[in-house]
Amino acid sequence: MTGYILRRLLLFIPTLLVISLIAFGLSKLAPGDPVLLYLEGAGNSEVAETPLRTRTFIEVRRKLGIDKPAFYFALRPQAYPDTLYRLLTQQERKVAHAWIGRSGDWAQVQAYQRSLAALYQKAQALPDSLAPEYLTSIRRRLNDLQFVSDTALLRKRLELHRQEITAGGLAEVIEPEQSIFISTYQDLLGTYDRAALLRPKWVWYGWDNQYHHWISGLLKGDLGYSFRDGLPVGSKVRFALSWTFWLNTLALIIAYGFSVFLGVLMARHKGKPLDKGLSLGLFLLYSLPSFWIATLLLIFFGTPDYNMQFFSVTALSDLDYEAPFWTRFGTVAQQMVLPIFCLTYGSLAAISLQMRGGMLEALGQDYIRTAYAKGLPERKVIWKHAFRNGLFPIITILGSLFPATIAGSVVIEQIFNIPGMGRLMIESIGAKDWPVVYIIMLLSALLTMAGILIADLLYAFVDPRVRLEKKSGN
Amino acid sequence: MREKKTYSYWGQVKSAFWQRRSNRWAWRGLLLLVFIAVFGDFIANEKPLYCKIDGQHSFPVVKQYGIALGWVKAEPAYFNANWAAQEYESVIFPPIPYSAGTFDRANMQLTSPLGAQNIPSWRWRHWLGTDEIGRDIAAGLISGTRTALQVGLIAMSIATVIGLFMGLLAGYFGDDTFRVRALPMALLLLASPFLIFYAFVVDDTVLPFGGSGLFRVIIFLVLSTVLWGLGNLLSRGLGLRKSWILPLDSLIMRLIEVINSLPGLLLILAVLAIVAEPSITYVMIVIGLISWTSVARYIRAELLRIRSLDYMLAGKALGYSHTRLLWRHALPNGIRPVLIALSFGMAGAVLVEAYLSFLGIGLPAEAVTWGSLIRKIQANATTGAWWIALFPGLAIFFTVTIFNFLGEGLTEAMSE
Repeated sequence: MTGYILRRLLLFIPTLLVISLIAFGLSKLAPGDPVLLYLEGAGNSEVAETPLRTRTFIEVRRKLGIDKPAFYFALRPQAYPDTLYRLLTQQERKVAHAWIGRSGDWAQVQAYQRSLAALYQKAQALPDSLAPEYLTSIRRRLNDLQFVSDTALLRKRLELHRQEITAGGLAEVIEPEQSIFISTYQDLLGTYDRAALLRPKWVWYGWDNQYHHWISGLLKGDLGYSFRDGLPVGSKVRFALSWTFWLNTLALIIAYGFSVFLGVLMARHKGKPLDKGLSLGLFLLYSLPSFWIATLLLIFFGTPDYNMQFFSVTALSDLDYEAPFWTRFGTVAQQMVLPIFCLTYGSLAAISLQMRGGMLEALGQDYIRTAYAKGLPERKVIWKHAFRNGLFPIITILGSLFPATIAGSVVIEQIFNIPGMGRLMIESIGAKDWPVVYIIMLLSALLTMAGILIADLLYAFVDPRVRLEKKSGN
Repeated sequence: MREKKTYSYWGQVKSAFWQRRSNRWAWRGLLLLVFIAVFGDFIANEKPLYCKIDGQHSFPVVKQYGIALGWVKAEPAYFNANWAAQEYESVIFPPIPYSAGTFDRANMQLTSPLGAQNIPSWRWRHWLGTDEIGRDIAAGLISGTRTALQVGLIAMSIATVIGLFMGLLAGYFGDDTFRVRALPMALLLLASPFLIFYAFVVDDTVLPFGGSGLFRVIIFLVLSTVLWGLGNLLSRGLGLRKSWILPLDSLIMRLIEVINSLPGLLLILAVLAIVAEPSITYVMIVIGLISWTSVARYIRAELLRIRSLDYMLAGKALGYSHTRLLWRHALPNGIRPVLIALSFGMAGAVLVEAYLSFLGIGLPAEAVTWGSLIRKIQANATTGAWWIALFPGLAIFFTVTIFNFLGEGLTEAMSE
């Protein structure tokens, strides 16, 4: 048994590794510069002054650990330099990428970008008095040009640039940078190194990379910091998890409690109107979308407009943690009625129908006939002889119920404003707060796998005929 | 009983299925849904089905299709017309004379289906009310049907293709019969970085047809197949007999376990967060990519049963090739349980689509779907407008119930 559990736990590792890679890969493909997100979260998104901006970027990149290559290795066309990741902003990297993809020549792209920067410096250095009405717009345009890689747009902008230079009478003073820039620009447009774009290149970056640092930190228990508010991810997730855990555990316990009795009741009255009616009702209940029911309940019972405001549904995130326990308990309990109801009814229906099937199966066995034949009362036959065997199916569906409840809890938490994992997840994805998203992804996979394992173990525990060791090869 | 008494397995399943009244109703419900999804434009449309203006007969709804297909040129008047207010010599409007996006300016601000409506006659009544900008809820429901079924259908098609392939491989070959020649296998392994490079890494500019995702997947598949074939030819030519047994079943079951422990909703949200323009297409693809596992499981279980049946053994003894046995004998007999997975999968996909549009994720802002209609009640919570949440929810409930009933009925009919 211990060996079996250990083997199953070992199998968690490759799965979690795959999920960590998926999460990490997705975050690297995502738009939105993490540095900017972090600065926004810290409340200073407007770092305009250039030297300060550069310094801030370098600092934040080091702090977030994104000043390193993303992964252990990279596979890319030869045209790309190995050190593209050193460019400070995502925008710069994107522009460089686009230019290289078009020309296949990094040196040429660099020459173009340098000459553009030189031209911009020159325009900055010119005294305003030369052509006051044109210089500001020329400078602004040159600054913007760094981020333009669309050739049509570029051509249009350059045409405007030329016109303003001539109109402002700046053609002489801005030389030689202007003509150097134009010639590098034309060189770049004329370059297309197809071979360099078609030749693959394998780069090995070594252990000093973002993924390695993140995953080894994770193994040491350092979950990283949220982009949004700089709080440690661990404490954020732990707080949210406690809500989700209690909510779902309670919902599952209630669902199991009721459905055992419903299932036995239906099995005892098999084929009679009671059974038929209950089966149909439960089946329909199972198909009721919980987000819809939750929304309706919230509107009907949570707002004063329908004269049925039985429950207050103010946000639980504003809960006063200083209040005495019983007051707090009262507030929470009152607000939990509707969410727990919404979480419960779906699984209640599924479990009851399974329990009915399990009991019918058990009641059809020979030993039940024997029990009746020897004159045992029905109550005893059902609860003593059939019940335990009737439990098998509802134990096996625990494994599939677990992920379903977690998914359902996302919906319910979002609607009832419960500060659990589901809401944290939707908020974090919306805000591209990747460190939090990684952990939630891994955690929910872990919970799902643990749920399936527990269901398997319980199954073996209730049914001595089940041999896990043999099943595991399946 | 309308079926003739048959003794074939499928015939028995069919008659067991039709025997239950709930199954028959579910089937009729499905037909109704499909009808609404297909002919939605003829049921709810602001344009008349037929009209006669200045002695000219025209069929504006049909014309709409012609314009969409590019066969008919539309005059600007066609787009700018206020169809309801126009003077006609004779006209036939669809049963619901509003499109999902039609603003009824006379009935803005949440017109109740029960109260008085500012309409010329009962023909123009909003039977299910309007939303806060005067759009007809009934028309919204009709257009939502199409989106819901479309999402389910495309997601399940993707799931079927992948699931069928994986399930067939796992169930037919099991762990001990899939032999691969060493040479093509080694060739593929060695070349895999190049395959990945030329299919997924190279820039769009060097690819002949630009670089759409689907095209890149096709490049990958074609390149690997070519390489595989070359390797096989080569090893046959060189007389290399060395081969390995690949435990396909174990490998595929492990993959299924990994995918099943992925948090699906989270994955969809994450994918929608990273694409430049969130669209329902991504939702369909992701649902398809994570829900093939149940299709694969059903077909695997069925094939594990079939592979040891007499006719398969006979086929093997007659020296039929694997391909022939698989496609001609195993697949036609093993494919039916997939219908169960598909029914439940459709129910799940419809729910996910509704929930995502309820959250306002993945759909353009102006699209009208069941979920996006329900979402509106959050902003209008204090107005007492129960109808904007009630009816779309019932539509979702109706659809999900139908697919659940079909799945349940099929399961029961096949297990009898």
